[in-house]
Amino acid sequence: MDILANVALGLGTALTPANLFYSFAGVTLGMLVGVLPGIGAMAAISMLFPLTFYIDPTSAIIMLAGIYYGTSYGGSTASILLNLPGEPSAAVTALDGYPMAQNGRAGTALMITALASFFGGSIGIVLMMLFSPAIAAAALQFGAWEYCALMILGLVASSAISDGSLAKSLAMVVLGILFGTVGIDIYSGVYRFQMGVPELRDGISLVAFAMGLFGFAEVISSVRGAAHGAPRIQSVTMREMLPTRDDMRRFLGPALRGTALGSALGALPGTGPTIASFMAYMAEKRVAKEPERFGKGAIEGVIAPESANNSAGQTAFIPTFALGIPGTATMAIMLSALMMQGINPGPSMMTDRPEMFWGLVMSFWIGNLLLLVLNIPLVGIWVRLLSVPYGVLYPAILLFVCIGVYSVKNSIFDIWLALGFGLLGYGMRLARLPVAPMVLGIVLGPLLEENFRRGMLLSRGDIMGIFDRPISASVMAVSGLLLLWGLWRGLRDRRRAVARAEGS
Amino acid sequence: MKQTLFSLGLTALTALLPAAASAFPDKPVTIISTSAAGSPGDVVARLVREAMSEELGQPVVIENRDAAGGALAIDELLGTEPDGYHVLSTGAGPIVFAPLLQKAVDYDVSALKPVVMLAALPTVLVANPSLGVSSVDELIALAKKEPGSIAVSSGGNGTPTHLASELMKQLTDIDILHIPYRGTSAAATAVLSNEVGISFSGPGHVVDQINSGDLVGLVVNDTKRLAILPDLPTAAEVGLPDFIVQGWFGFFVEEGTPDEVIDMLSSAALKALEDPEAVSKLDALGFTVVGSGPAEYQAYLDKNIALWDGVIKAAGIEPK
Repeated sequence: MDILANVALGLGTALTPANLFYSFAGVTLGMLVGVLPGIGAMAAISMLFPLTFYIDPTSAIIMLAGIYYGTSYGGSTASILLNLPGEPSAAVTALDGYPMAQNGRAGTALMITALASFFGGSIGIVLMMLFSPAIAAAALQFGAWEYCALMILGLVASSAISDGSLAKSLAMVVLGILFGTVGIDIYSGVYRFQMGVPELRDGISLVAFAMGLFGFAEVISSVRGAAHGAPRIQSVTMREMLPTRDDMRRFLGPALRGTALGSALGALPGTGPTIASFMAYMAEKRVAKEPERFGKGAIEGVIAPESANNSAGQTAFIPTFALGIPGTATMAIMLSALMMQGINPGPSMMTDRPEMFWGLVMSFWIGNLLLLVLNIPLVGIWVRLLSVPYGVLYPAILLFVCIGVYSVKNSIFDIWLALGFGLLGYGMRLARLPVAPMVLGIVLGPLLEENFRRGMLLSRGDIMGIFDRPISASVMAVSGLLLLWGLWRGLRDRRRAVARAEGS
Repeated sequence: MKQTLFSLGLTALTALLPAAASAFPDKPVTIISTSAAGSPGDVVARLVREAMSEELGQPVVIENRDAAGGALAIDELLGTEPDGYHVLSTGAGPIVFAPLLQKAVDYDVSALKPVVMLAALPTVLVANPSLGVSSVDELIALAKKEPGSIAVSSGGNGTPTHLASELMKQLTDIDILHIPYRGTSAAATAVLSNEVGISFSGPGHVVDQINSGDLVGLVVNDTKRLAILPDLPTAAEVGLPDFIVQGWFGFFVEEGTPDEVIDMLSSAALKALEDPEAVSKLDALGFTVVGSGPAEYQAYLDKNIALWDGVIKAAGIEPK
């Protein structure tokens, strides 16, 4: 069979000592920058890019790719332990991961995260092996209206993201969208809300935004507890950290749903791991039998987003390699590393350089396996981090957050911005306003606006264009059903409450 | 008496100057780049970095500061001593387009002195095969028959790829629909997926798609054919000699830097461009190796600014 020959060819490339080394170096570095709040794949890859001038192109891409998917493994660690995401894509994991840690189940949460990440990553790789050309072709079917419909679906579903009041949650989504409007308007070239600050021209840095709202705000609010707060007791014996049978029983459904959503959204050039993890969490809460458990340490709320962002991390390579066009800035650097070595990315890469494509895919397997093996013994060490006194831990966190925020654009202004959002985040906590919907807003908002306006341009001002195309029309129908269902459920609950009140 | 002493002192100082200049560089040279790591401008600078460092006998380090359209990098350069130890690596964006398209830029372009122009990167006009055109003539004929029906993607309003389409409209008097995207990669995806009919793109990203037939190459917006796309006609060959759209990359220093130092930096970079490996890599990426010194570079800049100033005014684009 063809695929077996390709697998053998790929293993032949991936298992050379040099490539094994680069894969190991890449995933280890990726995991570390993932764990460190703020420092992300983009910064790490930019820093290592010059190194790729001097090594074999396949090794270079194996290493850079390892950093990329390694960060999604590490990103959730700080989310779970400290309520501050290592990566924006892990922000949603904090919603249930952190409560799990507060309940003394940090080890279990980290363990299940590693398993969910491996699960999602593996399925993403299988999809890449079997269906790359087909998936890339399908991804090209997504135009402006399709993306627009997808963003509308995300916003309609967004009420699920917090367990508090629906009005507060929606208000925060809208506030996030408003923050997303800062920066250049690509349609007119106008700088919006720049306020004379050149750094705001490219918009608000997502990392500064998320690190401020989560990281700084968390540090500020723990200052009060720090004086008398005893470190939380965690079970660190392997036996207690292993997921219980009940946890494993709950594993497969969320992992499969998360992976399905993550794989699909990862393969689209316009979306990525952050949207994937949010969507997976929202979907999981919608289908859950007891949605009220979410936000209080439901293990499904960790499994779904983690399998989603890892599968998205893998399928993001599909359009990059099958079409030769990078979906994100990080992918652009990777392709640039190839172009530097005289390889022009494009559809012929898979056929002309099979040893490279298959070597890369097989290195993903090895990398994911390495990450799993690395992660399990590390869980115990990460959990012990929680017994580090606040006075030592929090200054260190602040330092890392500042470095991370700065590293994205080498911009001091972004640190001030993060501090500003930290104060805002702290204020929001005091007012019991949820933060996560705001992150969703700043991610979805600009994409919604951009694609809506493009759709209107392309269909010459006819808004019905969104219903003319099969994919966007179906997505809109799902959004409509979701709205009706929410309305019906709301009415039903109210009627029951009224009935109960009359009965008593 | 005082006067004599002063002039004596001056003479002594001038006598010392050549020695001081020949001592340049006695510490590492930093290239502050307005380009992000891995972007075309960064790649060009990195390809000359090593040979330049050998030539100067000092390490040359590159620092990427691409935030705020390069404004931070330029501010950083202008905040250093004009002694040649800090060199700006930049392109048309911050030097040509930002001053023309923004009401106020946050830096003083006139305080920058050209050192060396390294390479140019032309755009390539590509079409989706389903549009059914295989030449610029056929494209113009189609656009005249159905005005406004052909959509062209760009990397955003006011970006070079957008201005390329404005130039085409002005040269050929056709009516096409401009659809901006966030960045050139998204613009290229749009023509590949047939969301738009045509697009201007950097050569490196579309070579493979042209060769595989997924895109149709119409013209390279340059005076010379490209090594990687030898079959693609030039602007003059399709009958539009002014249809030239080039990004360019080069080095600048702060005004006040001694001429000797500028010459040393310039000749070190030019020497680096003689390296056949660097040239073949630049060729493979779709660049045209230029290699012009300070005077020639200044002349090119003046012409380039006048060209785009004309296109922007004729298109009625207001500075924002």
